[in-house]
Amino acid sequence: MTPPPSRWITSGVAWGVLTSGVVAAWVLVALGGRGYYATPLAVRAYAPTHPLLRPSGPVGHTLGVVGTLMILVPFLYMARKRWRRLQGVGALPTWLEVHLFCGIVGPALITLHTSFKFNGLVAAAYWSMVVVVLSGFAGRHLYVRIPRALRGHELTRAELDGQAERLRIELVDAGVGIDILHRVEAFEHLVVPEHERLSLVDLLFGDVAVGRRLRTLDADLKRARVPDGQRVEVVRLAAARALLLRRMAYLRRTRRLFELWHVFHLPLVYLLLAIAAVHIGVALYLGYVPFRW
Amino acid sequence: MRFPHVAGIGGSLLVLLVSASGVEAQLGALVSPGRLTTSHAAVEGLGNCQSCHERGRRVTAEKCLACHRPVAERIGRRSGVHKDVKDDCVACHAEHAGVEGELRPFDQASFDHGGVTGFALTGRHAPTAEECAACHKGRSFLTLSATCASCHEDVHKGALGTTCTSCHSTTVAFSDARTRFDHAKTSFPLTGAHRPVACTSCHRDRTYRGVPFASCTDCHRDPHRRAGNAATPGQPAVRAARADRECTACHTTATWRSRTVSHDTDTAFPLRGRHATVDCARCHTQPALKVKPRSDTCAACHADVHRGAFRQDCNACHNESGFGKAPFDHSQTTFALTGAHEKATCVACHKRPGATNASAAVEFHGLSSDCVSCHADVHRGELGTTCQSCHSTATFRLPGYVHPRFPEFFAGRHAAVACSGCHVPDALTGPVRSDQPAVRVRYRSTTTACASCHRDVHLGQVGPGCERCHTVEAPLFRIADFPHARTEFPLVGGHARVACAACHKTETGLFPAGHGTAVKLSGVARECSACHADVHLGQLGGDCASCHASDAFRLPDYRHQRRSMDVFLVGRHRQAPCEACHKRVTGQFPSGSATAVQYQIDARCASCHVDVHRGSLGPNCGTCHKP
Repeated sequence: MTPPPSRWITSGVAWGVLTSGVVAAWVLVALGGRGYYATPLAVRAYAPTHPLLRPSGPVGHTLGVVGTLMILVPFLYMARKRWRRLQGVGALPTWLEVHLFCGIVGPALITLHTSFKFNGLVAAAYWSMVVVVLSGFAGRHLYVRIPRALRGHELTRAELDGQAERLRIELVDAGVGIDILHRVEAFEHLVVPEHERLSLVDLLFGDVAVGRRLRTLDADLKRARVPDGQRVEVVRLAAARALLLRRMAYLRRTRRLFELWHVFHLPLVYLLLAIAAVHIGVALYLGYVPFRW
Repeated sequence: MRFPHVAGIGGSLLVLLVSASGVEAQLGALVSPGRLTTSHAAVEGLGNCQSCHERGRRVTAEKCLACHRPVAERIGRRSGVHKDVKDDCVACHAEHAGVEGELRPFDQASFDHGGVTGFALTGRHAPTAEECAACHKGRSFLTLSATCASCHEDVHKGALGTTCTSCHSTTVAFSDARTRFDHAKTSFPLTGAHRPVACTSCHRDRTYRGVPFASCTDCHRDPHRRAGNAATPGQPAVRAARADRECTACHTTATWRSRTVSHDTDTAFPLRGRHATVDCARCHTQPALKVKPRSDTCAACHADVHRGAFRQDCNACHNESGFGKAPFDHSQTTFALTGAHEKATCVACHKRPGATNASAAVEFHGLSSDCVSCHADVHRGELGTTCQSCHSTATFRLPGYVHPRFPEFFAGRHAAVACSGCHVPDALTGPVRSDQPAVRVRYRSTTTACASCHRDVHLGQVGPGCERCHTVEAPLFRIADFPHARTEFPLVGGHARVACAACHKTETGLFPAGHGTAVKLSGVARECSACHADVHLGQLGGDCASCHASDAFRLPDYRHQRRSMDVFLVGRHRQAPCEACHKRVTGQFPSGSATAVQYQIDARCASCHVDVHRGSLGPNCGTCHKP
């Protein structure tokens, strides 16, 4: 089985944070935003960088326009998910990463566009956006706990059982002694909850304990003088199987939580869009047209 | 899955509807990017957006200036802060920055008040540049004008017009307006002592117009005015004396101590001589010159040092050139002043005996014309009372006095001797009367003996007849040409050229007049050896004259006197010099052991010549050799 590409290379979150950091650094350092945003509102209009960085200035307005467009990209992801016509356009996980990327960079640009001045109705839109972004992170946390195929569709119970079995066979084929396999089994027993031990906290944050116990297992294998190659392989397989078994154990609960998350994530998006529309409409009406500075 | 979408869209519409259903101001606050400043509070709210904003044109200057008409007017005039602005009001005046937002950015430090407003903050205005509110008390900066009265109270109540700068400047305090104001432009130019006077001394109650100045008494009190403004008989006030005249007839603005009073024409007492230099107050002693001093008698001012001894007026003797220089003609008296008497001050003679205060001691009556009434008789009456027989008034010295007797004695060097050189004071021998000089000089019975004046430096060696050697003509009694031939030792030859002191040495010892130090004149030894050393050391005896003469010691033509030498001094011996035989040797001589030329020598050949035959032919060289 070929290992999947590195998580960070394909992570929209990582790229989104990186891109936001670069843009923020450019505005804050290169364009003098640090001093500008620190200037009190009462006199900020007379700062030398005001013409450039104000919300209706060349940089501020562009940030607002680009940020708004990026915020709209997740709706394309939504359309890709729902409209049959678009189902052939790109893999859904890729769409998700693009969604995540734009969902991080867009709000970051909007934040710079606001010049940290949160007034009126449009502030409600901004804070809605912040909540949506934060809930997005929570959604992402739940999403990765639902095992999926490469194309993005959820795996069935049978497929999951098959995967778990394949991992068990790979462990046995690793050629370690029976006592090592017993040790791995004890590890699985510790990290994969039985039905009566299932809890919401363990669902959301239990993976942290998996990592800790995995390090204990690794240390035990070292003491048992398992050759390094075998030991790494065994730990990898044990980890993959333990996580898979945990996902399978919490699958039903995770799915229900994810559906509930949509209820929280989506409505604020509409509120955000509605207020942004009013904001953009008023701005355009009063003549604050992009690229006419 | 449709629920979230439905809920979101529905919720959003609900929020918007709830917002829109609120009052207009609240909705405006929701749409507004920020509250307006208090200045613009009246246009807060959704319905007022277009009070400033224009559809599609953002914020236009037309909208701003529609309200801000004074600014529009100044922009039109291109004056003040807005003289160079374009139509972009919001470039300088930013709104929606909150209630406390700054609408008028203003860098106080760099603001050019003079250039922008045309009213430079100079002098005392300069510190106000630090604090705008010191002048701009209202919100608007446009309410002030460049007129002084817009800030300063017109204490003159408009009486002096509005051009304050004609008197005041910003460089000095209002109270020091004098530095600016040119009083010369008024009808009363300030001169002299009027210049440093404070303005308020004349301009009381800040009244600067209509101040009376035609008469000095408008400001000055008249010190000449006596009580009741009336002159007292006998002591008329100056004011009364010139009632119809101006103060300026006497005084100038330079000082009250004016000397412009013409005492000659204005008074009965012309000031002449030293009177002209006397300070007014010396005579006008009454306070504030109220009382006119009497001028009919000198005694009104001057004390009579004569204490009424003279009945006539002082002018008979004195005039204004000074009391000390009284032009009194002494020749009117029995004692005309001549010679040194002319230079004597009056009090030198006219003084009361024992008085210490000269001015109180002057006594002009009863003074005798005898010399001794003023001069002490140093001769104590020895020469009588007729001093004039010797002295004149020119000087007590008698430069032309010729002794009537012994003219030969008073000739020569004696002629130049001062009288006191011979007529020396006597030593006091007894009590002296208080009215006579303590010292007595004798002029009669003075001896002409040399020893009465001169000390005998020879201590009696030559007796009392000094004139035998000395004359009165020679300076310091030197004897230029003493005739030594008169002595027992005439000076001839080399002796004639010898200085006296070479033989007559100064000795200390017993002389006829006693023990002392003097030049030895008598009893000088005449032997050669008394003066000359015997270089022959006794070889030739004491009779030097048998060989030497007094001309010179050298003997160029000496001839050996012994006849035996005639045989010896022949041939080469005759040609030999003296020293070939008489050699200088060191040995035993009659006078002692020393070095001298040997004159007593052996005539044998061997004493000079070496015997080359070593005695083989005997000592008689003459048998074979000839000199």
